[in-house]
Amino acid sequence: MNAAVGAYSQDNVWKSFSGGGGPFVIPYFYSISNVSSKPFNYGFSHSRVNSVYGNVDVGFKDFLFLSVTGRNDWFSVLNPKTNNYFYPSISGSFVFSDAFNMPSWLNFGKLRASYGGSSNTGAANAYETLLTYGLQGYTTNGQAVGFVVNGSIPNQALRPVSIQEEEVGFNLEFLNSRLGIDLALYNKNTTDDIVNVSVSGTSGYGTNVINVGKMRNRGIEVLLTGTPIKSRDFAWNVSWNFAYNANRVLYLAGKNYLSLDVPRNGDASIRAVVGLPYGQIVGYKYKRNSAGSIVYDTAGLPLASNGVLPFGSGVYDKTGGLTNDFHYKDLTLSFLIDYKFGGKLYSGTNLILYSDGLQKGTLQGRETGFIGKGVTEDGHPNTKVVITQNYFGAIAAGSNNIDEQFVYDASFIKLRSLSLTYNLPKSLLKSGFIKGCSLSLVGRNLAILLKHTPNIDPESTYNNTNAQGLELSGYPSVRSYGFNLNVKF
Amino acid sequence: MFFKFINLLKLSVMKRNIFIIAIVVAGLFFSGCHKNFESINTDPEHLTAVNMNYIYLFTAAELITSGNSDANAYEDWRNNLIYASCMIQHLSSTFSYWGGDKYTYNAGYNSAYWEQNYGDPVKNIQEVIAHVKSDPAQANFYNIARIFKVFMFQRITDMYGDCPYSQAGLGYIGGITTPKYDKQKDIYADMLNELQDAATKLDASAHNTVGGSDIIYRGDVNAWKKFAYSEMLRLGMRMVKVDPANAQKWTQAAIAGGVMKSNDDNAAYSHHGYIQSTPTVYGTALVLDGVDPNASRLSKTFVDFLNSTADPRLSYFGTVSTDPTNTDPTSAVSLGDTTTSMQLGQPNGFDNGGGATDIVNAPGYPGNQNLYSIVNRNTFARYDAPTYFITYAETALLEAEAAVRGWDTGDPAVYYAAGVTAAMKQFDQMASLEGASPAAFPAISDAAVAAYLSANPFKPTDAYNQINTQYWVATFMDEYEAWINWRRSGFPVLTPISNYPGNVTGGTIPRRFTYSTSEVSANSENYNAAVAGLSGGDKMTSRVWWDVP
Repeated sequence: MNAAVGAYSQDNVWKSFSGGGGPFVIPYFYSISNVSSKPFNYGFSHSRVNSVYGNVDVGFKDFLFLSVTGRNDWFSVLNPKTNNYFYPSISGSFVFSDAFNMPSWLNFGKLRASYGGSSNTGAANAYETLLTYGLQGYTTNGQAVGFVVNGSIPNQALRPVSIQEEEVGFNLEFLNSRLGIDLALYNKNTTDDIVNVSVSGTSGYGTNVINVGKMRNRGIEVLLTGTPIKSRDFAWNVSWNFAYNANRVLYLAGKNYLSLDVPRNGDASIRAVVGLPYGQIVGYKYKRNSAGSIVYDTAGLPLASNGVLPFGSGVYDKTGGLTNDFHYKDLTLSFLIDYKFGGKLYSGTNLILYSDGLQKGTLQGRETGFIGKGVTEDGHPNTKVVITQNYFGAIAAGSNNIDEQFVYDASFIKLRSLSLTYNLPKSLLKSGFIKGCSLSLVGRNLAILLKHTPNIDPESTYNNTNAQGLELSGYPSVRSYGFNLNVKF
Repeated sequence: MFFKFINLLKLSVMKRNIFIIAIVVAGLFFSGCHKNFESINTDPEHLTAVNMNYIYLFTAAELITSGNSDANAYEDWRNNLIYASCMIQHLSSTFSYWGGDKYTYNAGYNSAYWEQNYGDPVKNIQEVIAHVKSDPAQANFYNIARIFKVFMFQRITDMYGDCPYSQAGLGYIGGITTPKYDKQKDIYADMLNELQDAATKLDASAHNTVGGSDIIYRGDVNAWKKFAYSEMLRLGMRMVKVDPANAQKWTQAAIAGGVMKSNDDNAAYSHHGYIQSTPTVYGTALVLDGVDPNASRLSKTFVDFLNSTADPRLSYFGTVSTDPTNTDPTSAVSLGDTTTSMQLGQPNGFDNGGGATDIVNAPGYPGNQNLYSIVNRNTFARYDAPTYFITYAETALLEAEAAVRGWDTGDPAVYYAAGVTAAMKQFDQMASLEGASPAAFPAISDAAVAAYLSANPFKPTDAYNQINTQYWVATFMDEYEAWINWRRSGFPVLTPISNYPGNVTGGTIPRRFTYSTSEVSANSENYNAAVAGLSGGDKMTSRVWWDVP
């Protein structure tokens, strides 16, 4: 048995000093003293988390283990009345391969289960419970100019985020550990998550920091490892991992949806919608009749759906990778293929390309005019010829915005990395001064084996928080080639 | 909870007498683990409602409404110049992003004024009003803020139509994150009542806390009273077509209350001379003489009209520069040649695309685009040129129209002459700017004004055209107001650019700006309800409530 209690205090202090200046009084004399105006800025923020915790671990005969913990946190960035959170956890594991006699092909087996809580402050930063004011760094005709500091509406009622998670799983190893499997099933409920949600700019603010409600993540994670070939000179190790996460927004403070982020161009947006996975891209679809044909107006331009509709989440639900290592004598070749499926992407880049006539899709009818395939509002086939520039201009950034045209399946498979390593044989390192030496050729982001997003890398979203699913002229993942020399003394 | 848990743990640990590790950081618990958290979470570098003086937010509201919310005159550049000035044919542009010239569409430019004004000044004025409302010592400040707030919303609603008003800018104060769009009709009714009530309650003999922070009138209560009634006159006259009874009622109330009487009453913000570290305080001139100097020329429509009446203002509006891009304010700006006979207007509707609509194919192309006039850099394109909110000239011209309609007993010819005279004499306020050279820039003489009026006398048979065309000239560079009054009155009669490829109005001059696209997602229900109330949807061709064909 093993037990502990402890306490912890974490301070986050941020300070910034910055200065600038211009113009020079006397040209070509480069000195700070020669600058007529030298504005100076100072920034500061401070937040603190205090915690106390304790844990008890109990083991029985080296095959049955139980651990119980408890922890309480206090967060300075939240409302002082509701800023603390207590969360216990319990976890157990049973190494049944040590408790019972096992057949020879099974050399390790463990079952595990746990229940635990945790907490954090999500998107809340220091000073977001109170409105504050500042004075601009300039004056006008000698008069100071004020401003409201907060861009996000302060929230005096912020509570800690509450997370409860149950997990069960097992590890098995077979055939002298040549084959292994690790599987976990989990169910995680997050309540009161603190998120910056978009609000109407006419409120005077861009976002609102709030405890948004309840969200569930259920999933499975599998790791398979194996050594199909193992001989004196040659070995092949392979590992494959796969994860599936089913996310669902369950409750949003009584609302049907919350706006999370908006793109820098176009009018789709990211929402949390009750009953759907987090991070839905919503926007205008093509208006279609009951037979599924696109409906055009009298000018020959496609009509938009009545109101905005969800296209799917920008967050991938299936992820994983496959690693292979081949060892032959002193040479090792390894590569990683990874993949993500089940996410959508609203492409601002393709929107601009459509708008400017640079997307391949806008070549249709460039000389002759474009006729949209579908029907008119009274059900006849659409035969109206539209100048191609006007047609695509209208659906991209004009009068008949159709966001659907710019939403793509963001799934991909990539050859993420490849390396070839040569380990200098021990026989060459007789002196003992150098303990090991290897040379490697490495490459990263070498090839995209599958994607559905023209002109862009499906992984070029603005960020990995609320804007997953939004893209505009982002850099693709950087391809790199390198050469590593590793020497151990 | 915490103590219970610790006791439990100790108990179990002691009973079994097993190895214990205990780390306790001294002085942290027992008296409470969040003792100083309220002070830790109060920003030491900024002010709270306890120590804020709200006068500084009023300064900010006035300053940003003068045209600049960032260091690039963002919304003034887009709405005032790129769109309104070209749509109304004060200026013309061959640059493709100057969409007002040929009625092409840019959603972000349309909504620039909306986004920048709701984002800051509306929030600022709501903060001011909420915090001084119930303080009797701040009564004058409160009423001045209410009057200026009406001006701010008049601009917004006249450009966009129905819009958030009663619930706008209240994200913190009222917890309203999705403001409803009020009907323009209701906004007008409330704005007029607000002006009446606030103007009545202004008290020159009472305590006044405003002072120099009011960058328009330095807290002068009598000046604000005239501003309120001049704004009331403006609002009243907007309604002449849609609600003549109320238009008459409020026009008469405004004139009875006491509108502006001379150029001394003009509401203007005089930007100070150029300082590199404060680009945020300049408006229209920053675009014309700084960030986008080569994009615009005076419109042929405007220059031809001024020439047809031998208007002495032409050389104050225009200049011909051999190199408009030479604008370095720290050395010699290219002031160009302001001689009247040199001024030439560039026709609207042309581009630099090399095709049939290339400016080189324009009738009478002078061989070099720089021979077309740009905005005069001694007057409106000076960094320290004033930005006008309401002027006596506009007010007198509206009084002239009210008199023509029989809503005022004054002589329309007298009001007309006063309006034209004031518009010409207004340049005196620019001649007195710091650094302005009187030799290069003499005021328009009384004799020149008299000569103009005798050559262009008031004609009762052509009154609406004449008055509103003078209003159009008098509002040069307050392009918002020039465009709004053109939509109201239909004068001057402008020839639209009818067939430019990619125009979104069917070749007609736009009648409103479109809403911010972020409202589609962030305020869907209210946005959709507002769009449903627009006959043609959220388009530049839809008309606002008072804009009756």
